[in-house]
This record gives sequence, C-alpha cells and structure tokens, in this order.
Amino acid sequence: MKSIIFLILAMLLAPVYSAWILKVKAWFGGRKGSPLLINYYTLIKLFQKGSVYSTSTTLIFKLGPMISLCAAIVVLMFLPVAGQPPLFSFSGDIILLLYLLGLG
Amino acid sequence: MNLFFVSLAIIFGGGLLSLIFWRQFTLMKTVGVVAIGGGSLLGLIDAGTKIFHSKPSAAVFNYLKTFSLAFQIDALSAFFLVAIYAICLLAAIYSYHYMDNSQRAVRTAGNYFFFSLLTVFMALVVTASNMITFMLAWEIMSLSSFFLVVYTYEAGENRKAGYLYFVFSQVGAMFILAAFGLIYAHTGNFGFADAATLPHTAKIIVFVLAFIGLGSKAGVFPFHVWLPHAHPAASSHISAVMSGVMIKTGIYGIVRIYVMLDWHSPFFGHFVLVAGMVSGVLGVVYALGQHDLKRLLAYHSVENIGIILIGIGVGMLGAAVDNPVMAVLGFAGGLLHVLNHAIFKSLLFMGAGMVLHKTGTRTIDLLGGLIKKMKITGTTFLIGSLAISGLPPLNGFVSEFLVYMGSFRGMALDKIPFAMCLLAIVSLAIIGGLALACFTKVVGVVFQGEPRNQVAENTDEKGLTMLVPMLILAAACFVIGAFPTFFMTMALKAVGSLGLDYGRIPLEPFFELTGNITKGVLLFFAVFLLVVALRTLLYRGKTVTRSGTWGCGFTKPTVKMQYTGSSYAASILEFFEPVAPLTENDPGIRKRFPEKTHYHSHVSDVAELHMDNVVVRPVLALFEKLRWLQHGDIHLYIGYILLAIVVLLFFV
Repeated sequence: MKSIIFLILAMLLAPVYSAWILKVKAWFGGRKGSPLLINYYTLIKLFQKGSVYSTSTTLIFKLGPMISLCAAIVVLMFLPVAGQPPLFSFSGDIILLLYLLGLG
Repeated sequence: MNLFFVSLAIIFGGGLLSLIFWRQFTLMKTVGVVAIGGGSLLGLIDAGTKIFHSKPSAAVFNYLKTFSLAFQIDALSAFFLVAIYAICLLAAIYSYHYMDNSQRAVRTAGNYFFFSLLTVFMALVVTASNMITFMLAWEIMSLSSFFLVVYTYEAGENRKAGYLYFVFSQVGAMFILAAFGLIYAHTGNFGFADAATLPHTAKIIVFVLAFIGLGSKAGVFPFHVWLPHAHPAASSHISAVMSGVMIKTGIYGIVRIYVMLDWHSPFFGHFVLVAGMVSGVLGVVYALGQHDLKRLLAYHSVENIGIILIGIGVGMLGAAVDNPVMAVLGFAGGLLHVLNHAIFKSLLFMGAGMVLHKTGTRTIDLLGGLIKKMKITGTTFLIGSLAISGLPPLNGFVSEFLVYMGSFRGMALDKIPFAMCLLAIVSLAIIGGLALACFTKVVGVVFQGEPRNQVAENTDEKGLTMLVPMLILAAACFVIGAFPTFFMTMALKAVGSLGLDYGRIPLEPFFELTGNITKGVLLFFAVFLLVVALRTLLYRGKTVTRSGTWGCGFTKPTVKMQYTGSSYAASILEFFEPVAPLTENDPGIRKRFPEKTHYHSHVSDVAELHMDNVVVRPVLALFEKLRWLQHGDIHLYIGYILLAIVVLLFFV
C-alpha cells in the first residue's frame, strides 16, 4: 500500500525536481530565480491549450511522448522509492527497464 | 517422416509445374505460390508437432551400398524447420503480387523453380544425418540460391554479386568438406555419430574448419563479404528467405558440429563468442554507413548472426564450466533469436521490397515521407525496426534478454570466462544502441519527413498478397514479444536435443522468466492505454489543427532541408573511423557566387578491403607462378597422367 502511495507521490512531485535545479542554479548566479511551482503553472497552462501539428509529421510524432511517458511510469513501478519495496520486481528486471527507457 | 517427404514433394512439384506452365503467367504464378505455400504449411504443421516428440524420427535410403542418404528430425532440426517453412510460406504468398512483370515470364518461372529447390534443400540440410547427405543438400541449396541471386543478370553489379556469392559458397563448402574429410579419416564412415571419438586436437581443427565453412554461409565477419552484395541483387522475397533462414543453416551446422564432437571445451565457447562479438558490432557499424536500403538490411543480418553466435557461445561456455542454467539460457537465447531474426528480418526485407517495387529505388536518401502513402508498410516496417533493435514489447527483446541473463550467470566465473561474459554484455549493449540509431535513420529518412521527389510522392501500396505476410509477421513480433512462453518451450525442446545431459534441470525457472516478460509487457500496455485515454480526455473540446512546420521565419523551405541518412549517421561513423574507413568526395562551396556542388560518401568494409590484399592477390600471384604447368603441350599432359599413376602405384 505504502509503495503505491509513494509511486503516486513520486509522479506528482516530479515537476518540482527540475524547478528545484533551476532555483539552485539561479542562487549560484546571484539571482532570485523562478518560483518552485513553475512547472505546475506551465502544465496547467498547457493542459488548457489545443495543439498545432506540422503537416510533415505523422502518427509517430503523437505516439512519441505517450510512449516515453509510459516507459517512465512502468520503470518507476519497478524501482524502489524512498526505501519502500517496488510494486513489481523479478530477477533481471533491470535489463527490461533499461530497454524500456531505450524505447522511450 | 512420410509427411515430411510429402510436403517436400509438393513444394518441388510446384516448382516444376510453374516451369511447365510458364506461358500462362497468372496460372504459373498461382501454381507456384499454392504449391510452395501449401507444401510449406504442411511441413510447418509437421515440424511443429515434431518439436514436442521425445524421440527423433529417421529415414535412410541406401543407394549402391556405399552411398546412403540418411535423414533424421530431432527437436533441433524441427526447430529450424519451423523457421524455414514459416518464412518460405509467407515469402511465397508475398511473391504473387511482387513478381508482376509478365514480360519476364520465363525468368519468373525459373525463379519459382529455384525458390522451390531452395526451400526443399534447406529443409534437407537441417535434417541430414550423415556427411554425404549434408554436403549434397548443402551444395544444391547454395547453387539454387546462386541462380536466385543472378535473377536480374543484365546489371553488371548483380553478375558480380552472383560471382562473389558463388566463390564464397564454394570455398566455404571446401572448408566443410575438409572438416568432414578429417572426421572420415579417423572414423572410417560417413555417419555423424562417431565423430565424438576423435582426439581432442583433431576436434579443434575440425571445429575451426567447419566454422569457417559454415560461417561463410551464415555471414560471420570476415566471411560476410558476399552478403551485402547478394541480398540487394536478389528479388525481395528471395532476400527475405535468404537472409531470414538460409544463412541460419550455417548456424544450424555450427550447433550440429558442436553436438557431434561432443566435447565441452571452453575453447569452442571463446572462439564462437569472439566471432559473434566481432560480427555483431562491425555488422551494425557498416549498416549505419549504407545508402542502399537492402544492403543496410544485409549488414544487419551480419549483426544478428553475431547476436545468435554470442548466445550460442555463452551456451557453450556454460556447458564447458558445468553451469547448466547458463548453458541452457545461452543456447535457448541463441536459438530463439534464430526464429526471431527470421521473422523480423523477412518483415523488413518485404517492406523494403514494397518500397523498391513501388518507387523503383533502394537509395535511402532519395525517399521520404512514405508512411503517408504506405500506411501498412510503414507501420509494419516500424514494428520490425523496433524488434530488430531489441526493444520491448517485441520479440527481439526476448531472445536478447535470455542471452543477457546467460551472460550475467557467467559473471560469477573467474578470469577468461568472466572477461568473455563481460565483453558479451558490453557488445550486446553496443549492438542494441547502434541498431536503434540505424533504424531511426532508416525509418526517419525513408518513411518520415517530406517526400524528396515525385515518385516518392505519388506512390501507393496496392498488392494484397504483399501486405498480408507483412501484417502476419508484424503480429508475430508482438505475440512472441508479449507471450514468449510457448516459443521458449520450443527453444528449450531444441536445446534438450543437444545431448547436453541437462534433462534433469527444472524448467520452471525459465518459464518464470518468460512469464515475467509477459507481466512487464502487459503492464506496459495497460499504462499505455491509460495514457491514451488520459490524452483523449484532456484534448476533448480543444482545437487541434495542422499547418506547415515553422521555418523560423524562413519562407521558402524545400524538401532538401531535411536530415539525410548520411548526415544522421555521420557523427557515429566518425567514432568508428578505424574499422569503417570513410571516403568522401566533396568539392565544397567555392567562388563568390557558389556553383552547384555535390557530396558523396562511401563506407568501406575492412574485410572486403583486406580480403583483396591478403587473400586474393597472394593466391593470384601463386597461381601466376604455377602457370608453367599449363603450357598446352599434349605430350607433357599425358606424361603428367603417367606420373600420377606411377606415384599412386607406389604409395597406395
């Protein structure tokens, strides 16, 4: 049960991670930096928008982000988060994970 | 056994009948396709059931007492038979719409005839159970495929390809003959069974000789030189058969010789592993540098033969160090990769055939944007590409996974076997990465982007019988990728017939392994469906439009402003410069008002370069020196004969 909660938390908190990196970088540069929740603001804004696809692109262009998101989520399920045992695991799963990331 | 011969008779009969009916083009094609396809289907069912038989079935035909033809189907043979029949069946179906030039009726009839011969004798090679039968079937298989390679003999390069293939298969056959001769010298009979009694040094020589001979058919580096020439020359369904299954008869031979010699020396494992790693890595490097779609696929055959050999080498090493789990994993991975490679490689060749058939070109950099006009071809080609790159959830991953697991077992060993297994893992990873790069190049340049010329723009993918085999093969990639347990059982049965005496080790752990793959893949699909659902939910009620790519303010973009295959691969090829010398012809942009310029690059194959310097020239020089023997004087020729008889009288 705990594992599932941690999994969901890991997915929800992921955007903070890159914002935190930005923040630290800004501090080192002597600036104030963007707010920690910047990625959430961007996500909310983007979720409200439609899309414009180039005529050169094909279905693969749309599939790409979905597949890599899937790969990341599945890999997350196999990884131990915060000391909790992972949701799934078997011997040699690391190869599957690495190749899944390759697919992404 | 009867059913086996009946299916072969049907296939051969189909070939003969299409020769007879060559005047009626459609009838000829129908007869050929139905007979070859039907016979293969029958054989496929027969071989599929034979894998699960515990006892091998055998047949012997005695002819003039000394000349006996013997056949035997054990699980190993049956495993290869399944691959051969399945691919030949689909290739036969594919050929119906592919061979549509009624101007070349005779030639098409000949093509069907030699296709049927090739199918029959491939089946006989993997069932032969003595040396005479093996050599006979091997030679006819090589010859019939030679005639298929020179199908369009008007083109000079195709004649050259045929010649090269002919030389390689004959020299290869000589090596096999030498190996068999050594065995015969020790045992005094042509049977396979007694080879185990050879002394150890003789076994090593026999194995190396046979490996060179069989490896030249399989396309092991550096004996692969004929492969990238012959595959583009043959028609596409034949390329699919040759690359998918014919070269695997070499692998079968190597495994069979290993079983015959019955000596689990680590030397064999190391030898095969090194050969596998070299062909695997170099095959994919050369593939990256190719401009010709079918040549590129041919180099990928070299790469995949490398992966298969790595698997078999790990298996041999496991047998040598008495690690049954490692041995079974290695052999099963290698054998399963034989089947998998047969499936996705013939899928890719059929896709390339469709492109060639409709656009008339194999040059990657002339094509583009084809997926819009060729939806099925493009999608199945993409699936095949993902499979050959060894990505889950497709079949290439399963066999590579098994080989990885086998190699990881070997990490517990010490010194040389440890180093070998480490190297195997590293080279598998390199191969996987480079194959992925290579196929993003192919799919990206050929099927994505904008069409580069009129032909690529106004094309279609008509021809139902060409599409159906591709769909079946693509589905097979998914099925094996998601539910490998059944196919794993087949491979394990084949491993069981290797006589490794591992009947007692439990099979459950292996099924657990494949079951886990199934679990992982199903999980992936579930998440994928969830994400798709989420996406449609989020896009509901929002505007989605299409427009041209934004050219950063540049108003006149042309189709030339895209990645080409050469430019995409250039950065990787630079790294491999020492083994893949790149020759460029580029005058550059000169003068104040730049004139028309061009760029041409060619990646040379070191094996091809050095084959010329190291082997061909010395041999030619030697024969030049022996020229005085052949002077045209009939009297001295008679003297030679007399001398030979006298010498024979003294020594024999």
